[in-house]
Amino acid sequence: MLALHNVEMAFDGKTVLEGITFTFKASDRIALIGENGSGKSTLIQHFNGLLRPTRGAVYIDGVDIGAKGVKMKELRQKVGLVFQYPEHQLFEETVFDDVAFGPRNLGLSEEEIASRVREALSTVGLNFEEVKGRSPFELSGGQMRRVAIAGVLAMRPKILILDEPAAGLDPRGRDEVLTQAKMLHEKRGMTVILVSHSMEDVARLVERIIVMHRGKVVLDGKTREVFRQAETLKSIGLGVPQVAELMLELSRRGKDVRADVLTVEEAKGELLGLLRREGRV
Amino acid sequence: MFRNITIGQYFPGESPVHRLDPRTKIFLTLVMVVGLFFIESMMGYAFIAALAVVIIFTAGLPLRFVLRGIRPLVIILILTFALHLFLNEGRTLFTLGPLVATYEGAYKGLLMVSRLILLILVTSLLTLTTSPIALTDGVESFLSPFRRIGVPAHELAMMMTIALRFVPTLLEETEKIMKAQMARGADFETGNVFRRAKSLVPLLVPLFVSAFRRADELATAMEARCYRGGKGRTRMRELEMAFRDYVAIGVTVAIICCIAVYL
Repeated sequence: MLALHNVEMAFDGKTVLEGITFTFKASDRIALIGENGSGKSTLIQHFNGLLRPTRGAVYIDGVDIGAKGVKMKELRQKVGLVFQYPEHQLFEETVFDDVAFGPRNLGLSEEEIASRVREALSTVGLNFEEVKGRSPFELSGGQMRRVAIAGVLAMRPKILILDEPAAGLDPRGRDEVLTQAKMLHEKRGMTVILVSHSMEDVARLVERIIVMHRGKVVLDGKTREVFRQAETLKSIGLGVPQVAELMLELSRRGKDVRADVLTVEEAKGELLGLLRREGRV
Repeated sequence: MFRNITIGQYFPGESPVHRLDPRTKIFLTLVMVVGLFFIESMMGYAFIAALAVVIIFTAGLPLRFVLRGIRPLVIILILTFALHLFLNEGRTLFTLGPLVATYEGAYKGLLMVSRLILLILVTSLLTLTTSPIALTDGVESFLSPFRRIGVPAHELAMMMTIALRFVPTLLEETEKIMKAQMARGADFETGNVFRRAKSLVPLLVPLFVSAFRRADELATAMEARCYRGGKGRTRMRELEMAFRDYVAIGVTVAIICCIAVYL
């Protein structure tokens, strides 16, 4: 439902994106990974028409969004984009009004807006009655971020893009935001695209990883497959989660363990199995 | 979208004009501006324009780049010309409904437009060839004699430096917030004046919030490095008038005086 065909982007004669081609199916859960300046933030702005490719085309539900007569509002309703540090975009007097900004721009009825705001706030784990009348500026950082994400969710997008949603949050806030992203995918069937430079954060949350480097896609595949390419990942400054690195090293030294583990739990299972087989436990 | 703003921009270079002491350049800009107000003949303006072109070439500035600074003021220039054209009494040039254009008005209008263009040109020459830091150093040095009567020279200069430093940052921030609100269906481009003004609220509120936050953080960072204002502060690069500065001042002042007296 979201397809990019040979997208190229140049600013002032400098090529920022080059030959980007891939397709997302409905209800995929994807991570877009790349080091700082790899072009991922520029790329996601093509998904909802904020930027136009210099060459190539972006298709949403089979429609070329660069074509004439495409309504930008409809497009931006379909593709929800949460920027980095989204709490910087809050501006209304109350949380309710801020979350309602998107739906109001869509010209919905007040009842519909109210129900959407309620739903969006509860999706991000905030108590509607408690926060609706408060000023967004008196909330904590983590809460502000969730209100901002709710502001995009209230538009009911089919595709949700989150640019570094966990940046600057404490470990608990990070876990909450990332788990909620996973929930949105599982319960609502939304296509979720996580943008990050940290393999550690996204590894256990996504099914597919697209790795970008200097404006090009260098790896694109199932999470485990991508993780096996540890050398490539390291060479472009990304690295793999520590557990994955441990298991890779063990298998390289001839131990009989799976090298493509993603979580600590998996690694624990593998290691216990290994010790048992070697008769040490 | 904000790439086209050239007013107040610095065009880095190593030319003799760039190397002049900022105080020399500020002083000469003032002289030329005052001169422009005293001179009231086309011939005089032609000479000043020639002088400006010589400076532009000496400084190695692309002429087209300098002239681009006039573009934002085209409407004001046209308006000025039209007002002079129709509101002066004299021999009729042509009539447009109840409006009477006169020869005298056309001449006066041309004079005023030339004066405005030259004013922009001369002042932009200052900022184009002087880095913001040098410029504020120069301003501070000019203001310091007034410290005795309570003018906070250093603080004013520091404010100017900070303001200039944050212009690009705020432009970048504006663009970012604009995009974030557009992603939520905001529309900054259509509608009448009132609608458009209202649509700026979602942009301006976050912008102010972030500007205040930045100001707060910068103040803390400066205090953490023991910044306590101008008293007893020394500088890494002291301003020093060189021989070339006196030559530049002498020559330019002489030229302006000659034009003012004879033309």
